[in-house]
Amino acid sequence: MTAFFDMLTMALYISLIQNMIFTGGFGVTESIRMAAKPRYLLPLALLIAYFSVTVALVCRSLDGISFIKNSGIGVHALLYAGVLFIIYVATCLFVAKILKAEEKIIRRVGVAAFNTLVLAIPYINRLSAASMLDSVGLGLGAGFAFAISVTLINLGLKRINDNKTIPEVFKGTASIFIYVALLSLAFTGLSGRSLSL
Amino acid sequence: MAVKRKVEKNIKKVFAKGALYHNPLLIEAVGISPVVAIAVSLKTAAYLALITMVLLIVAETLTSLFLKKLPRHIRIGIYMLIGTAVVIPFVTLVEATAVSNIGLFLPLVSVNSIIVLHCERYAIHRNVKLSIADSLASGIGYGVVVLVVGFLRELLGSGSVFGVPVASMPKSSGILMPFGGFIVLGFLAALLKTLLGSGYYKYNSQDAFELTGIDDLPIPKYSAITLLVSKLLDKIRISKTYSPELPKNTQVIMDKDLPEIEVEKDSALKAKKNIEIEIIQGIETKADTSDIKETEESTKAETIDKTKKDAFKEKVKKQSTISNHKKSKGAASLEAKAKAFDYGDEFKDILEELSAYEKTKKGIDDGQAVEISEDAINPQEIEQSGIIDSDDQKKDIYNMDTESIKTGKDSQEKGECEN
Repeated sequence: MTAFFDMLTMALYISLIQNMIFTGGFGVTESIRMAAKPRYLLPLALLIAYFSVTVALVCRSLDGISFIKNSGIGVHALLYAGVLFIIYVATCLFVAKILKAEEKIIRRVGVAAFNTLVLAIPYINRLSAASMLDSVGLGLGAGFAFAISVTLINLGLKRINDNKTIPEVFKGTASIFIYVALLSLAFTGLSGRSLSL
Repeated sequence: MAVKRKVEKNIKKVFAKGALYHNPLLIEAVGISPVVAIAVSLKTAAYLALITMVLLIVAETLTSLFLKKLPRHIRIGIYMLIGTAVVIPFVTLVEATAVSNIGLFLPLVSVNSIIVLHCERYAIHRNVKLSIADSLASGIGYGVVVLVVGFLRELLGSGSVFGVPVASMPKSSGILMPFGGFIVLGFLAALLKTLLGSGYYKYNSQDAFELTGIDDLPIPKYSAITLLVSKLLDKIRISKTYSPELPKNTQVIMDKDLPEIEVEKDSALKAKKNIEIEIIQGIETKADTSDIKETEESTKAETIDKTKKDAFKEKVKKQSTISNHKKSKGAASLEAKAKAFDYGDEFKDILEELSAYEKTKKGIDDGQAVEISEDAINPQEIEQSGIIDSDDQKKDIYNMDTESIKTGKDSQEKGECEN
C-alpha cells in the first residue's frame, strides 16, 4: 500500500509541483505546438504516459545488470534509445496491424514516442536511483504533466491571440515564450527553489 | 546557364529562410528543450550549437539520399537512431571534459524536434544539394540564437563570459533556470521580428509556426451522466427529440414527421443580394392538397372550412416548430438536426433575411402581386382565417420557409395567389 502511494506521490509531484515541462524544459516544444491545436491532447497524453512507463520499466530492469550499471553515459544513451525504438516499433505494429488504426493515429504514436519528455524519464530514474514503482509513477506523471502544460498554455494563448494591446513584434512566438516563462517561474516557485542572488 | 542561375537563386532563398525568416528557435519554435536546459553558458551553448549543426547536416543528407521512399512512421524512428549515432561521440567527449549540467540533456538532442521537422518538410521533398543548404542554414540560425542565449545567461546569471569573470557585474541566478531561458528567447524573438521588418511576411510562412487560430481544448460538451440519462430516456421512449433548450410551447415532433428541406445553394447565394429566394420544400402532409389549393385561390373575404382550417393549423404548427427548431441552437436530436437543419452559414443568412420579411410584407401591404408557389402558405390568409391566436405564431408565419416569393402587380390585381 505504501509503495502504491509512493508511486502516486511521485506522479503528482512530477506533474503538479515540479512540472517537468515548465521546470525542466522537457517536451516544451511539443507542448507549445500542441497547445495551438489541442484536438488530440488526450490520446497524445495517454501515449506519452504509456511510452514513459514502458521505457522506464524496461530501462530500469536493464540498469540492474552490472555491466550496464558500471558503464558510461554513452552506453546508456545507446541502450535507452534502442529500447525506445523497439517499443515504438512494437506499438506501431500493434496499432497498425491489430487495431487497424488510421494513418493519423499512427503518426501520433511517433510524435508521442520521440519526445525529450519520454526519453528523459530513464535518465532521471538512473540519476535519482528510483525504484520500479517510482519509475512507473514518473512515467504516469509525465503524461499528466504534458496534459496540464498544454491546457495551461492553450488557455493563455487564446487570450494572447485576442489581445489587441500586445505590440506587433511580440505577437507570435515572442509572447508565447514570455507566457511560458511566467508559468515556468510559477512552477519553479512551487518546487521550492531559491532565486536569491 | 539559366538553370544554374535558378539553382543559385533557390539556394540563397533556402539560406535566407532557414537562418532568418524561418528561424528554427525564434519563429518555428522547435528545439527549445536543450536551449533552456543546457545553454546557461557560452561553452555549453557552443557544444549544443555544434552538435545540432552536425546532426542536422547528417540527418537531412541521409534522408534526402536514402529515406525518401520509406513510410513516415518508420522514418521517424530512423531519425532518432541517426541522432543517437551522432550524439554518442559528443557525449563521450563531454563526459571526458567533465562539463557540468550537460550530461543528462545532451543525449536528449537525438530526439530534438528540429531534426524531424526539417527532414520531413525539406529533405524529403528536395535534392541533396538543397537539403544540405537547408541544414546549414537552419544550423547556423539555430546556433547563433543558442550562442546569444548562452552568452546573455552566463553574463547575467554568473557574471562571466566563457568562464572569465566580468568585473562588477550584478548576478541573477534565476536567469540560469529554464524560465530565464524562455524570457531571453521571447525577447530575442521580438528583436528578430523587428529586424526583419516587412520582410518577415515576405516569404510564405506556411512552414512557420503561426498563431493563425487557437483551437479549444477537447473537453466534452455534455458530461457522461447527461449522456447516460439521455440514452435511458431514449430507451423508455419519452422523446427522441427532447431538447432542454426548446421553448415550453413547442410541440415535440418525432423524426419521421420532420420534413426534408433542401436548399439550393445557388439561390441561397443570390438571396443575399436579392430578396428573391427559392427554397425547395418537400413536406409530407396528410391534408388534401387540392382542398388547400382551392382555399388559397379563394378571395380574402371567403371563410375557410373547418377541415381546411385544421389542415392549415397543422401546417402552421409544423412550420412554426420547424422554424423554432432552426432558431434554437441546441436542436432536439443530432439526427433531426442533420436532416433538417444542417445547412451551414448560407441557410442562416437566408433565415435572417426571411425573419425580416420586409419586402414581401411591404409588397402585400402596397397591393403588389405576390406569387406563392405550391405548398406555400399565404401569411395574410392565415392571419385572416383566425387560426392563429398569438403574436408569436404570427411572427413564425412570416418567418416561415416559403417557396419562390416574387412580387408582381398582375397577380395581385387579379386577386389571386398563384400556387
